[in-house]
Amino acid sequence: MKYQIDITEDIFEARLSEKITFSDLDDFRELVRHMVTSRSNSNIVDLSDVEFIDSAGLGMLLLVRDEISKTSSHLTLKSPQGQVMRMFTVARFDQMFDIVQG
Amino acid sequence: MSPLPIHHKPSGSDAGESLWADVLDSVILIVDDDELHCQLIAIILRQDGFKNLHFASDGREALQQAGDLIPDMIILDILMPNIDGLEVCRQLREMGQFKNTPIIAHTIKNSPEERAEIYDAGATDIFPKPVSEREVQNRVYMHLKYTRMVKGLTQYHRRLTRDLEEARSMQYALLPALSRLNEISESHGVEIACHSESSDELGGDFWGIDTLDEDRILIYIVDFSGHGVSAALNTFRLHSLITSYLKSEHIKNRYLTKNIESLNRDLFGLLPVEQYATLLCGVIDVKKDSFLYVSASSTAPLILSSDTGEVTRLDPTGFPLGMIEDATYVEHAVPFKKGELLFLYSDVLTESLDQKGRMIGEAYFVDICQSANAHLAEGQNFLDRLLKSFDMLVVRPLKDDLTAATLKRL
Repeated sequence: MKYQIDITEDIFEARLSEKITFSDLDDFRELVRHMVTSRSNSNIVDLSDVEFIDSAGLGMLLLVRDEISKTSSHLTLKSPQGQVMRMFTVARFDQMFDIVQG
Repeated sequence: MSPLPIHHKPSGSDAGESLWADVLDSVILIVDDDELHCQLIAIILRQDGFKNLHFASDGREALQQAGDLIPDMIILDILMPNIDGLEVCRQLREMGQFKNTPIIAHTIKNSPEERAEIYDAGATDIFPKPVSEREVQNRVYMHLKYTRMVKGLTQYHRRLTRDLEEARSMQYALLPALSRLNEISESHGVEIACHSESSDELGGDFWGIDTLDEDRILIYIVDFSGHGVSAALNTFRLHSLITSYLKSEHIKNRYLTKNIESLNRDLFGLLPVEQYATLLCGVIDVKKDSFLYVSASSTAPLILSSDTGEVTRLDPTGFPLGMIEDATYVEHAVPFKKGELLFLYSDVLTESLDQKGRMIGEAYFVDICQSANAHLAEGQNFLDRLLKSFDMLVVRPLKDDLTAATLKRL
């Protein structure tokens, strides 16, 4: 997994790319720390360039959700594609996350 | 003589203290044909607190002493009568037990060529003569500390590997026994096949099967998110939970969703936020020709018909277990007739990469299943055939455990 962070005004946006798997756990925890410390009102995880996510990857998104829920800010998952979208559908992530396309 | 203050002694941690004490216990063999040189080195080392010092005055004696004492370090003169230091070094290195022992050449030979020759013979380091007190103290300590640490790591690694192997065999023990599978096959008119394969790391897969009454069979497959020790420990937790639910009257009284919902609540309380399990749990009714199932985000179960060759993909949508406290689940009912085969499998079958580095993916996997089913030779088992196709497709080692089970109605 690779990621790039953009913080503008009150928006924290992380653009993830490549694959999100078990081996990215440490990077992901660091990303969550950045997100929480930025104290932005709106947090966006852009998944449009993520080609694959495994079960551990889904777990990491739950970690973000949990951390953000402890603050008063909002979390959005943006543009999941292909296999990522299919994983979201099967795991009913639409019921747990605010997911937007485009 | 009271020890001098030790300038390089590690401080501030118990680990450092105990490593230091450990290093001071080291057996050191000092070899020199000049007794004065031996004593000089010994005086320096005694100042630091080393007590286990032994001496040899030529190469032959050095080899004999080394064999008797198995020293932790050898300080070795090069120019000696009988067998010289270089030869001693070579011979020691050829013996397995001295493969990693620090051997320090203590010599007046100091030209680049001579030094190269000493290192080529297998020496770890060189102390030039005349001896420098600080250098001897620092380097002896450094080499001994390093070998202790490597030894510690090797032991730790060995222990961990053994523990993991044990954990793996305990996981295998969770799987249904062959004798039980035969009994179920016999009593309910089915044919059961299964395959389990562990990856390098501990995984979190298992499956199970049992009879509910004379017509019904309960079957399930579980996969924990993540790998490694925590996933493996959680498989044991879930396994004991599932076994206790299996014995409950609810299951017998056909409340599959209620059981999965309670199981989910139990797991939600046990698991950290980022961990969860996927599950497919279903009941085969051989009298009603049906398969009733609940999926918690499992891989899509397949039903393959041996008559028509048709493959039906069942909907696996459902909250993974342990993710949301009060998740509700849906029960699906599909026909499951004689001649049809139910296939449950772990996600490594769809998520592995092929020879060209592309992920197999579910759609292609269903195609492979269809083709394996259509080309079964007389008497050949579908799972065997499928796994052969899979083996030809993927690059090993697999990144996760492989668990697959089929149940065919006869």
